[in-house]
Amino acid sequence: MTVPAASSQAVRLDRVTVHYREIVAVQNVSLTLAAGEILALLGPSGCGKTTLLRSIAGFVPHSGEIHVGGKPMARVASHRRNIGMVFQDYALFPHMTVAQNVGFGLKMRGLSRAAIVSQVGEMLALVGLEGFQERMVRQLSGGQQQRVALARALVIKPALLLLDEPLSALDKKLREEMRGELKRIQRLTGVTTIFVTHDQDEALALADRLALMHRGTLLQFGGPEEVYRRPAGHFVAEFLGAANRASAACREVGPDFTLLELPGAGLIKTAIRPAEVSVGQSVVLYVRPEQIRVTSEDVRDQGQGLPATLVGRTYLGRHRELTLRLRNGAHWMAHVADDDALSKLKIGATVVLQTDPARVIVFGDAEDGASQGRPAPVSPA
Amino acid sequence: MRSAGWFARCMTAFVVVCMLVPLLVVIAASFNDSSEVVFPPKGFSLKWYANVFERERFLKSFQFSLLLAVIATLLSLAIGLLCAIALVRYSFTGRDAVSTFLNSPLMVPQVVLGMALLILLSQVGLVSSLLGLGLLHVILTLPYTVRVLSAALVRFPVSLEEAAVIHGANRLSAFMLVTIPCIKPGLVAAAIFAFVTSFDNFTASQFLVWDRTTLPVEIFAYAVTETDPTVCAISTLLIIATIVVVVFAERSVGLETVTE
Amino acid sequence: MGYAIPKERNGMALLLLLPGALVIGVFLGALAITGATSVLDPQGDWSLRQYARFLSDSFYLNFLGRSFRVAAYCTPITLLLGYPFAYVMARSSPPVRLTLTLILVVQFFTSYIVRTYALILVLGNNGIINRPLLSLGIIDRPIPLLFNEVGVAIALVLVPLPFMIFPIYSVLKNIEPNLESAAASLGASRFKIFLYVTLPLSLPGVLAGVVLVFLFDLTAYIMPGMLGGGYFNMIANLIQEQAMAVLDKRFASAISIILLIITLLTLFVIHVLGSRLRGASA
Repeated sequence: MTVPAASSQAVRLDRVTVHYREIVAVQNVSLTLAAGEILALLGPSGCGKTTLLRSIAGFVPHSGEIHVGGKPMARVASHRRNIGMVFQDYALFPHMTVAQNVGFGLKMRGLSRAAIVSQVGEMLALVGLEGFQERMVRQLSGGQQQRVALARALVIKPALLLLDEPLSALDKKLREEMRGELKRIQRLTGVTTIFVTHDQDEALALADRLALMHRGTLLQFGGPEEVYRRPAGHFVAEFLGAANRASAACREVGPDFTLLELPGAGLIKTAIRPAEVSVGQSVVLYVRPEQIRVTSEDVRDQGQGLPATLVGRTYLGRHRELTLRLRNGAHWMAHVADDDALSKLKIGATVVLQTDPARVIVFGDAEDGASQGRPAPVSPA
Repeated sequence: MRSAGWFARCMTAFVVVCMLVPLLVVIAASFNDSSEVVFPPKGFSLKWYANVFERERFLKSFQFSLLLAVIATLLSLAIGLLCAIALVRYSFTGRDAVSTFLNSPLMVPQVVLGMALLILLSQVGLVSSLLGLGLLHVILTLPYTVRVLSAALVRFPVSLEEAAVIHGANRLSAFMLVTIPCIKPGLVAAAIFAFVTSFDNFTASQFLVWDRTTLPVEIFAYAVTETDPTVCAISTLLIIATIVVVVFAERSVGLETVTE
Repeated sequence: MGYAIPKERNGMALLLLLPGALVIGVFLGALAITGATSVLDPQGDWSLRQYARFLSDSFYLNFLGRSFRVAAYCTPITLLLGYPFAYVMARSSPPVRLTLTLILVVQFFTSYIVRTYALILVLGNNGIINRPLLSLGIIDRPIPLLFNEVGVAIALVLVPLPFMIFPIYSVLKNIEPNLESAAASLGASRFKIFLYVTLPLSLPGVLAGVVLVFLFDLTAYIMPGMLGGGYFNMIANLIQEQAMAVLDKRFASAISIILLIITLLTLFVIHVLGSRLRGASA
């Protein structure tokens, strides 16, 4: 049950801008999406991701161009865009049965009764709700309602599927379960998908492409690994996953590495293309907690390491979170596997932090706050 | 929640008695055998009911009241729905003022309303007309329909309409297929309110009736001239009809919807 | 932020409002013409003669005075009867509440004519009040409860009860139950809770009910008409008589405008009071 591949660019946004009263809700967003890909619009509340989604649906007037399936949407009314949408509150029609809900789009397209019945049946089986045709919406659980909403959107074989925070109404366990379901169904149908979320785990898990937005602007657009490992700026680095941040100065530049000195704290090595940073230049660096290797050896391995004192330890089930105080007073977090050696460490013990040079994120600017920061010389993954 | 004390309960019981006793008296007196209106009734007879049905004036005015109420209700629902959509779904300057204007007929004493409309209609020669009386009844009922329908629309999540639209329905179809069925309780409640308001109306209507009168006008005329229990009989019929309507309202949409 | 179908230019909203605007336009036009009628004399000149006629003659002013008087003392009694009813309705179990609501709504939907006529039966010399009192020997002549102010007053207390009860009930049922529990946990007695917590919070409803009932009483027509028997006509009866019996439309218009102004002023004062109340409790 696959959607016939449209043009290679299933979705194209070109300088889309949305004004809402005096505020610019979405500013100059451009991106393209290939057929069958899943795009996550990610960002904090108010960043414009939902507004952008709704402008693709045609609910919000905008300037700039939107193309779906190779066709410009400028003069096309919402009901003709061949888009399926799952709303945050599911928006299932309470006065209709599950079958009538799912078949609604087909009915609007004028299919015969028999065709509707058969396609609705197939789709319900696909989402795992076989036999639910005659139930009323109010008899369904949250997860079931979500599947019905999905079925309704997919049965029309849309050129594009839009989902507005599809999992936010579900509890944690269900959310993770539905995440897998969503991906499975999307791969099965091959429908190009765009979904909005503020949950980074969801975005990283589901998406083929991530679009990180902040205050209406598209900060970065790329694959999950790329955005996670090579964030385009400070905000992206700090929003997507935790990150330990420090200011540093470049101490030494070698053939395949750069040594950065954190004033009063120690040295960190990064793998960096030569001639990107000069000695003495100020930089801002980020190290992800899971990238930190904590050793109790009092050894400076290969000329890098940050001595630190263990000041806190939290057991989180899947890993331990260690709070460490560097020599310059800054506190860093490290995530370590539940390991025998480390569990013997007492609070107050002296340790050394090291990290994989290839995974350190460096920005040339010492800019602060949520500004983009110029894409800085960062090590290739 | 704290339950009510004995004082409140006694007062309530007293009020209930004051409300029910008069109606019960009327109902009982309607079965009176003599032409005196006494309570307790002497004898038992249905002749006053027969009298009601025999008197042409009652029958004709009943039909006229019914016709008027139906027309007024339908028009008021339609116009009220359009106004409610405008008030709830659109934002524009002066929205509060418009809302007040739509409520304004309620702020005017009925006798003034009746008289004002009489004067207006006599200027345009529409005094003894269904159009004029119908207009009065639409004016009387519009504030209620707008209010009830606005409340129903506010409760209705717009995402339902959007879901219909995105999956292929144009705006009008979405409205007819999704919105209207979902606000049905509101429509029913508004209809009941409008119908009863129109049917029962006396004070303003009396200015505009001619030889076609409404039922309340006929009852009033009879009551101030005659003294037999016919009025009891017709009152009993109306009380029963009212009870039927209220029970229907409770069963279909719940009285909470109706009590604003 | 809720979803919304894209709003076209407000032209659509205005289009939707057009039929309603027409209806209200007719209504306002009627009021305007009435105003005009009241200030034009037969020669077509502007004159306030009709107003002077009304305001200078104590015979006519008495109608207004008596209407005010009756409304002023009947409304508090209605409040006294209606508040407990609303309170019990808001605080009882669903079956009781439903029963009370049913009774109330049936009252509300029954025509004033029927309810007033019923009171005639009750209050008459042979009615359910006089008859037992007479036969028990408590009185030896029937108390005249009809064709005078007493009967009209009784009607004006009882008939508008739903208008008093509904607003108060509406406000009471929305009061957070936690507020009263909190007061109780701080040691307040039942009466004090009512006085210091429930009553003040219910004031907006009380205000709404009071103004509705006051205006109802002030402008009542049917009750004085049927129960007063001509002996206790109020201002509305005067207007009707001048318009339909005496056929003096100009005079009737003038009185109507005066009554309208009084009504609007009352509503305005209550509105201001209400905002002050809301401001104070915020």
